[in-house]
Amino acid sequence: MQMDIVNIIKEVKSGNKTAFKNLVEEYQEYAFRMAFRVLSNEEDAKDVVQDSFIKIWKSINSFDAKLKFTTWIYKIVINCAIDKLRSSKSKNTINIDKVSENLCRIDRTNPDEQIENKELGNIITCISDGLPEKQKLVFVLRDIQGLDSHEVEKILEMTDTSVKSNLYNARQSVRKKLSKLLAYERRTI
Amino acid sequence: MKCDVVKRKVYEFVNSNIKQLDDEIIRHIDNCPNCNAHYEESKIAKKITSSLNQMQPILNNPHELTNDILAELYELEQEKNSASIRFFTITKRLLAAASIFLIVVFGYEQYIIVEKLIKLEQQISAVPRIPVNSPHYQEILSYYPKQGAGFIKTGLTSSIIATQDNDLKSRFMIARLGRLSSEVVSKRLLDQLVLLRISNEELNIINSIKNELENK
Repeated sequence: MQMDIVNIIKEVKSGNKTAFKNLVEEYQEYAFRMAFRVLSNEEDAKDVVQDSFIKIWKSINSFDAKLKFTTWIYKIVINCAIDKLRSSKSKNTINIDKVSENLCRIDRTNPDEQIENKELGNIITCISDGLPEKQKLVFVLRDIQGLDSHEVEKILEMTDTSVKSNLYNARQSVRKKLSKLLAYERRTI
Repeated sequence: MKCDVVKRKVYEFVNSNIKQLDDEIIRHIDNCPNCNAHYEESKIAKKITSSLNQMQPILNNPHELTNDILAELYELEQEKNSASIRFFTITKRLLAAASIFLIVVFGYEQYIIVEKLIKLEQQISAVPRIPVNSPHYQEILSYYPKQGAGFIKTGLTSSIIATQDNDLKSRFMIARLGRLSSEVVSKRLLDQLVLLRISNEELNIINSIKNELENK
């Protein structure tokens, strides 16, 4: 598998569009998940994935083979997502009742079932709303996307200490928000 | 034990691989409602974020996204190619314009120089010969050899300027004569006098001057 990626990168560097298509098919889903978790919006996430892959095509020659290729791609995706996050002014109207209901369901059971993108986006928006940008990014990448600290440091170009402190503060805020949302749901039952 | 310390330990327990809390901390949590609530909230938060990690956002129509990316790439390449073509076209036009400009400028310069040379030639050829017996010629002879070549040039200049008949040619000649040594100037003047079909008496005077110069 690793060898395949090496060959694909080599072909893409030489301008092979078929190889680039393979690269897109291989990584677009993961890139989408990451962008979606940062932006909480399907259309914005798709735009970011599209922009990211165009950037990847343009800058593939600057990719250093010593680096992990996925880290390099995710870094591009996150940077595009940050740009989108900063430029996006519109906020979706969120149904707090629905979010609280979903959170209670997650808390009470161990749901294997998949929930819709919109609902998932609303939950992430609600629990990470108001967090400073760095805290939000660290929290989303570390806890929701499930990357390890080392990779988060590289993607966000932050130190170990900075990642840890931002994550600590973000988790405390999220804990408080969740507590309020769950209490709201219990009151309305 | 302070609550802050307990909360920090709870954080580490919930979010890292610590398998068990110390008995002392457990006892504190059991007896402190605030720390107990914090502990419960932390566990719920961890459970929910872990669940969110498991819930993958679904990419609907992945082929459509792939096609959109490739279409944008194709457009980008087209733009890049047309930009290159535009650049070469503009460059070619600029070079052609620059060439025409240079041809016009240098052509005009050349025209000016040639025109000036022709005018100079015409003006010089239009100047009449100096008559042999003119006061001007007599004056030239009177300056030499007693008063030396410097006086010849000075006298000649002022004399020719005063006559005005052959102003341009004379001035031009004086300018040239001024650059020559006095001997060369004298010789040239004498050679010119010989060519002017002068009388025998005058020729003798000239020859004597010539001899005198050569002896010097």
